[in-house]
Amino acid sequence: MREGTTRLLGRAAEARALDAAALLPRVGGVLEKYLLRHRPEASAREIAAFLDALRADELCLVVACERGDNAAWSDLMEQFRATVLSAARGASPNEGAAEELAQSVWADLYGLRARGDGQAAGKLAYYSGCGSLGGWLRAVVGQLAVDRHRKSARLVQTEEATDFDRLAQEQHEETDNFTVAAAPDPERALAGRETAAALERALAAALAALDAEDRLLIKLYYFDDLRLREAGAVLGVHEATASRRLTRLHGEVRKRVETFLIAEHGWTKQEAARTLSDAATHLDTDLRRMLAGAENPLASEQREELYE
Amino acid sequence: MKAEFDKEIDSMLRERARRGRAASGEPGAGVGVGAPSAAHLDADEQSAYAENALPAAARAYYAAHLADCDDCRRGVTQLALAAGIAAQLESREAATGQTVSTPHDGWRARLGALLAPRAWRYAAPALALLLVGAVSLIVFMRRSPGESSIAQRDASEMSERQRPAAAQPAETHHAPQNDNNATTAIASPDQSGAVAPDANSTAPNPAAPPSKEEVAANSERAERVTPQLGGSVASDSVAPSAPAPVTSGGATGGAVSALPMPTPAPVAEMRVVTPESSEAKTRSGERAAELARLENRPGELDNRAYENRRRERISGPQRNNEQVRNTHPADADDARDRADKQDGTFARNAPPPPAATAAKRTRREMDRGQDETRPAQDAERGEGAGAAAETRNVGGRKFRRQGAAWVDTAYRAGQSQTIVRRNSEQFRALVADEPELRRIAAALGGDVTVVWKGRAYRFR
Repeated sequence: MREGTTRLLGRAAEARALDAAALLPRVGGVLEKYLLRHRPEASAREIAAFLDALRADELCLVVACERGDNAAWSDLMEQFRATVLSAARGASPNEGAAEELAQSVWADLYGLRARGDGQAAGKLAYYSGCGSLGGWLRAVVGQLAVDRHRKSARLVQTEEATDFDRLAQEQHEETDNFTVAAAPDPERALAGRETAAALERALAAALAALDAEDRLLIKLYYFDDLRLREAGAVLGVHEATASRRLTRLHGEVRKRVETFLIAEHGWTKQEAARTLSDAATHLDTDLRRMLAGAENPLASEQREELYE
Repeated sequence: MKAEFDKEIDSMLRERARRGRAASGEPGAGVGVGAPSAAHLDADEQSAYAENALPAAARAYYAAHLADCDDCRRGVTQLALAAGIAAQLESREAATGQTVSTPHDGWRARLGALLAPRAWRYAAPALALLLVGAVSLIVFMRRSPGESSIAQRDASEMSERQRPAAAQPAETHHAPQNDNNATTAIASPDQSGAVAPDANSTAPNPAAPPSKEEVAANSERAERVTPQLGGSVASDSVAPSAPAPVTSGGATGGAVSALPMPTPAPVAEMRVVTPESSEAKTRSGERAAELARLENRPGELDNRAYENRRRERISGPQRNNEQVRNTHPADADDARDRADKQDGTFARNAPPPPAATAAKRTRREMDRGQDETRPAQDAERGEGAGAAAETRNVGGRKFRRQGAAWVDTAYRAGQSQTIVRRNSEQFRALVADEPELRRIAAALGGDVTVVWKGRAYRFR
């Protein structure tokens, strides 16, 4: 690790009078957090590759700032002032709030607040050098904005919000009951409800059994309404790769759902396939009705996706 | 890019997401499959994940949390979009010309890349070229290998025979060219065991000249050999230094024993084709077929009848330098050495099965369509079992004794000749014009064939 730290210093265009001993605790913490904790059997080659991938200049800049290097502070603020302000504008309703948020971020970075042990609680201590310093600053701004929003939300619990939650729950129940009400025969309605419940459980089990990244892609695309290009960016893959992976996931989900229905409910494979087909057709019919009524605020989005 | 999704599963997932959003009232809130697996990601973890800067194990760990935690997932999404990761991925793909993929893509991605038009753009012409080459090779190999190979082999044999004849001086003694001087016999592995082991035993050192004892012993063994000619008989009696006599021996079985067996010459050459010689196997097969044909026609097996038929086709005495026979031991050894170098494996000093020699001669004459030497005819003239071949130099010309006749070595088989009787007016006029011819005719006497100024004269 010491060799890796020395190489890191060598890679830095400006070491800012730092030596390996000054960087070693930080580098050790980063190595433990991102590599050894998840892969204790990592080889020396993997460790060296990880250390060589750290951002040397930005890590040296941050460590120098922590050590009270005024020149480093000046450089940091000069290089990233615009970045912090831009991120604050994106998380704030107006320019004044953005300015205030940016100032709060710089104060947190500098460590105006003191920790329990009396040391400055500077956020710079959490920068690892794995990602870019600009990205980290954006993340800091975003988290601070969320924290502020949550604090204000707890203080101002309006009646409108409560009413909104109640209305949403009623709408959800109506949506669930829509399938039943559409069935003219009570016996068939009961059977349909049982079938829908079985499908719901099978689908949940199928999604839970997927790999983490596959489940993340499902969430990004279907639940967060991201496009494939955006979902792929989060996963670090190209749009085409995300599309192929999603197509593969459809097959996996179908297979798992059918397997669940056969194992848990004793259905035959033909029955499971027919039920999936009927459910999809019925869902499609329901969505068309909702889109025609245009009462659902999600109608326009669903229309765009469905007929894309 | 819109993939060909499974419509049914796609509809179900959309419906499930819609219900989750309606229940929570937030666009990003779905129906979770479980609580977040760990505490929320800090700013450094979010930014590192969004920039795809984490090791694989750590990335998988955080992905599990992001799949269940809407807040962290939203934060990571915003960071990734703000950092322009999508644009970076597209530019990277444009630079490399390949879609960025991960191990999760599996065999479909690899198969897709393999079957991409980009790869087939070069592979298809190469495969087509390979196919054309293979078809051409097959057609070439199927194109009448029999005739072409025989023609090529005969041409090579001709060149082999001419090469040593041209290189070897002609002042050697001529062996009497009769049936007793059969020079070649082939002992194949599937012949009687008395021959094959001997022949094989000599094969490893084909260049070594045989001793007199070996010659005698082999001659005796050859006399004992019943010429049961198998398919691997590959007589090559017209080897470079052999005069290719037409033997008087019968073809097979008891017919041979009833006929006078040839007496081996002092120096006899025998070529044995060993099993490892593919060319020899081919020859032996063809000659075996020829022999089988002869065996089915017993009339042809009669040596004297065969000689008569040959004699009818003979248009002139043998004058071929390529068939100079060496009786001198050193010359014979040289000739054998040359033959060994050209033909590979040999065994020596076993007399030829007469039928093999006769069959070989017949095939060669038919194939080449040319008249060759007539050793049988000369043998009758010579009547000399055991008589040595002779050459004489008269008037600067070399003559070879063939039976009772002297033949100019410059005489070529098939060359037209003018028969001039001695003491005839024509003879006197000729020798008057060419006194050298008188001296030659007087010195040699008897039947003399001489080539003079491009024409052949036969003095009788």
